Amino acid sequence: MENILEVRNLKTYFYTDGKEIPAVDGVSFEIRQGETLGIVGESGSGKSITALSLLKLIPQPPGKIIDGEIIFKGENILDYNDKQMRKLRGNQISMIFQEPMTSLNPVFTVGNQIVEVLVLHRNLSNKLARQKAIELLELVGIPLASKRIDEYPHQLSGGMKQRVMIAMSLACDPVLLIADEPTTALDVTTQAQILDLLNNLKTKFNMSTLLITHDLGVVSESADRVAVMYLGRIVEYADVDAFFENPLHPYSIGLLNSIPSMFKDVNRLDPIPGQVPHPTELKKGCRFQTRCPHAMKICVEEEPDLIPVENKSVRCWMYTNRYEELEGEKWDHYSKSKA
Amino acid sequence: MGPLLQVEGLKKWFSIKDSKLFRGEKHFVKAVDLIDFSIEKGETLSLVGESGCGKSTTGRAVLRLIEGTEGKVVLDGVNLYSLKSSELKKLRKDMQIVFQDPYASLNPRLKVRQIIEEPMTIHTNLTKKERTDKVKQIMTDVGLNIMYLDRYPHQFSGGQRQRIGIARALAVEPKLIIMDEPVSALDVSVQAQVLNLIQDLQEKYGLTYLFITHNLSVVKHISDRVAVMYLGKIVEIGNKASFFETPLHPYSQALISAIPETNRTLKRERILLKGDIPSPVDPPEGCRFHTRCPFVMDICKILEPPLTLLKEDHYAACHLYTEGIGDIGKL
Repeated sequence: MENILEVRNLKTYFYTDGKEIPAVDGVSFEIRQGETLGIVGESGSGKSITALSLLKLIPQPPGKIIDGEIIFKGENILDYNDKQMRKLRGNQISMIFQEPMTSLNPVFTVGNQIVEVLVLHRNLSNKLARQKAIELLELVGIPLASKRIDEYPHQLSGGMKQRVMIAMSLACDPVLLIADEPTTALDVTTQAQILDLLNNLKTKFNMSTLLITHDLGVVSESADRVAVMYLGRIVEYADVDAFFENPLHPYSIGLLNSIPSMFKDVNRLDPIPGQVPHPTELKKGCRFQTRCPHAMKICVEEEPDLIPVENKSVRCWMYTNRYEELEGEKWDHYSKSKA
Repeated sequence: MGPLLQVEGLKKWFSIKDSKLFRGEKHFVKAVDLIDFSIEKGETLSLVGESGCGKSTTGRAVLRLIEGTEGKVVLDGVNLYSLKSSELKKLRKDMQIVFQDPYASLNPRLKVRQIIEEPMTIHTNLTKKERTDKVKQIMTDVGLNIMYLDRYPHQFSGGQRQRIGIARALAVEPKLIIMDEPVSALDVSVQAQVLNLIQDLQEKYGLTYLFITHNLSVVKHISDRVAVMYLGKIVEIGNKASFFETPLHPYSQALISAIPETNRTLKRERILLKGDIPSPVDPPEGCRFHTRCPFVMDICKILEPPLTLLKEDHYAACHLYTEGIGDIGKL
């Protein structure tokens, strides 16, 4: 399959109070035609910054894309100027955001906002654009679309607003859809409706999607491949089936053990100890070292690369020869900090 | 001895003031509309539902943090709604609440020691020294390092702040703690830590929880009994095992099927509900769920089904069963 998007060694750093924050630090992935890649991680992992970087929507300063390539349909869009980027955004690559409540303009009707996209990017007349907008609203399952089109965002429920956002993002038949936590602000039953809609649209238009989420359940049900991020790095990258069958990185395993499941009963959950360190306090070595149950001396000294293991890629010394050589030199952050 | 908490006919209607808009007619948001439930000592009852179903209002009305319109709330033999506010204040130490947002629910100007000490200053006769000792002991209990006594809330992460909120609730040794979405604002890995803490504390101190959440996987993990709310009504209530094995109300079934699962080998059939939750202002006649119910019948549009005992310790409000159409054995 053809790669729609290739991201190579993307680095987006932030600079505040004289400190450097490596929010996205050498991230590489690709998205193929018709495929959904899920990027999963907790707050501060850099997943949203990755998404914003793809559209060059990083506020600058304090942020800056300092290195890397974003190859979209054969061209590095990091070389694009503002005018070229404006042509790309909302047209070839479009985005839906987490908060449908705050990402629609409250003083325009939803119709106005969809029509604007069509008039700007497709040079349609207002009349044609309005017709197309109604079709789009019908496509995303809004009942009475020809009436709803003249309503303002506050007249719609959260799920309806997210449907409008999706309609807007689909207006120009994008090649790539970036969905940043599209269902996080929604109720479960509405979330199920929206995920179902996104899955249907993907099949219908053979669209490629980058799905950003903190919810492994959503990834499991909607993505084809998954990249797990921790503190600006991809720590595991795999096909969804392979990943959920046998996750390799201690962080991935920890995440999965942290979620209560409907199918198994445990007396206590098995959480990852500690918390995500502040990104200005990164130590050398593996970024997960402070919370890892398998940390060794080498993990504190040197950061592992993302290496192929089985049918996945994983960033962990455990899956290398060097780890076995060092067996026994266990590193315990908790006893160290207590001592 | 009866249950620790007994709620009977609790109702909270908010009146909508703007009479011009509705041509002088009085309208109400029926946030909580005649609900009954009880919690035994040492038990966790989860109140689950989607936004706008009235679960948080219920939590607050139980504590009289907002005044219920009607109803009885009996805590350990005393009807809170028969008390004067001065009498109620004395009982406040028996019932505490942990809020959803650990960023908004701690006073940013107080140090951790002051936050945890304050309830003791108000409700107990402990000396300064005793209070400080107790603060340290509670901090240890909830997994906070006592080196942080003099830090301010902003110096802590979300998970640690929620621990402070829990410590504050524990300070006066309450009989009942209302947990209002205590882990919803937290990251997955931290969420698991706090859930474990909540369970550990319950075991250690024999605490009773009313656990309010929208997350059914969390409910399954933490509760003894489950109550599902929809538009101000409890539509199903029962013990956890029976509820998750055979959810009876179509809404509960849809809720359970909607949870995204990471277990890929067990594929379930998803029930997709049509439309959105109707407005709680003048909710639908008859069964409030009838506008979205996949099994809707004529009677559902006219008559509101009562909460009926259908299995051992398992009630549901649905005409499917009272009309003999729904087969409980088959589900």
